[in-house]
Amino acid sequence: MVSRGIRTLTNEQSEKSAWAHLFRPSDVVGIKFSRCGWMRVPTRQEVIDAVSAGLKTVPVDAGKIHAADSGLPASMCTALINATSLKAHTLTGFAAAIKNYINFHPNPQQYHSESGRNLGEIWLRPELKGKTRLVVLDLITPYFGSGPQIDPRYQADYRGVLLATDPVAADTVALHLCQRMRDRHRGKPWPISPPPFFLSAADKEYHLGTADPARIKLVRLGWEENTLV
Amino acid sequence: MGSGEDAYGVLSVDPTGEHADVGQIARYGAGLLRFCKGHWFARVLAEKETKRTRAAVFALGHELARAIAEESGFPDMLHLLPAEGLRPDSTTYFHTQITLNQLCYVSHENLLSLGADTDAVLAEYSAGAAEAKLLLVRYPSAARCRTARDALLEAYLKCRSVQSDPVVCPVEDAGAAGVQAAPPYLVVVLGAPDATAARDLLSRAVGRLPGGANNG
Repeated sequence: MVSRGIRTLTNEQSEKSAWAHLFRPSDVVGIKFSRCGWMRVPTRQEVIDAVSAGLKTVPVDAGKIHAADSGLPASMCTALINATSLKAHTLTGFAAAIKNYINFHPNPQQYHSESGRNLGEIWLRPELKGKTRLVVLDLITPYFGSGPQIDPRYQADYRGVLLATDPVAADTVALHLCQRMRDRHRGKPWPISPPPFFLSAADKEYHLGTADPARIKLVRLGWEENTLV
Repeated sequence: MGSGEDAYGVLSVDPTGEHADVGQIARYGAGLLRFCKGHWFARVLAEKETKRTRAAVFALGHELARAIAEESGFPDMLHLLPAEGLRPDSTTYFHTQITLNQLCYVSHENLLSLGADTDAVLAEYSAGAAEAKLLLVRYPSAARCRTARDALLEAYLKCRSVQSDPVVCPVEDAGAAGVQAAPPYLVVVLGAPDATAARDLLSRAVGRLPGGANNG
């Protein structure tokens, strides 16, 4: 899925060309994934491995590929890949690409207030700014209940992966998907709450990408049934 | 938990699910059993739901419940909710702003001055073909109740001038809302389809409070 996705995203025929479209052999690449073990919504190791394998086709040397949830040496990296999962979130509404970088801040808890409105400012930290070239959202079993403890009724068997170069666009699609899953589950509107104000701020205040659905081109590959978006 | 009421409250944050006969109140779904008994809240979770794991989850749940000798009453505020139109499995007992916003977003600011010393109940009601939410908050003091009312009027209902209760207003993108202070209680209707529905639910709720509508 990752291979097919990156080739379509970059409009390249081969996997090597696709990854080389975004990364160079001289790059030092950091893959920021999410463990989220207590919620059972981690970035799957298979997704992380697929990303690493893709980078090696460029080729980016294995010694220049760093993958971590916390403690990623972002200052050393010339490029970042945001590889996380999707879950609804008690404090910020939902969590996907934008929130994934919260661990880069020394005091991440401060970004849980006001529904995480200022999450986008983390992306402007010197060690991160402008480095994210690819977002890979693990949508294999996204979680659409708000937690903080796992409830398996709200974990979907979606079996998808989303790739994007725009993290705000990726999160916009992910938000829509999460909302559709909730509404479908209850058979009526089940609004994500609190509203994820950070998404609009990531667009309008921090200029990290677009949250305007009219400006997002979504390309679906594979099964059409139950894609919900 | 600190009390039987709070054990009930944790379960009631999500009151949906298959009713189960474990402990005092229990819900089950997809391999997860949740129940409360006395001041205990318990979760028993199977990695994957099968007939065998479901049986094991329930067996373990029953064993845990048997080991808890005490039982406790449920939050007394539940009895203040009007019965007519109350949707089943839609009532949550809680204390904090975080829980309120998880269930029904009002503001990132704690307009209602919720905290460990306040008791709150949120319930869903049928309002014709639509629905409305009723929020009942009990404060430790009349002054704090009135302060919360005023903050909600100004910041949420956008009614700056002091008005006599009940106050019912349209709320942008959120239907109609209403509020009435009956200290130590604050009664709030959220997301009603129109002002008439908001006023009706508000009136019925206030009528069930100790002292009825004469508090103010």
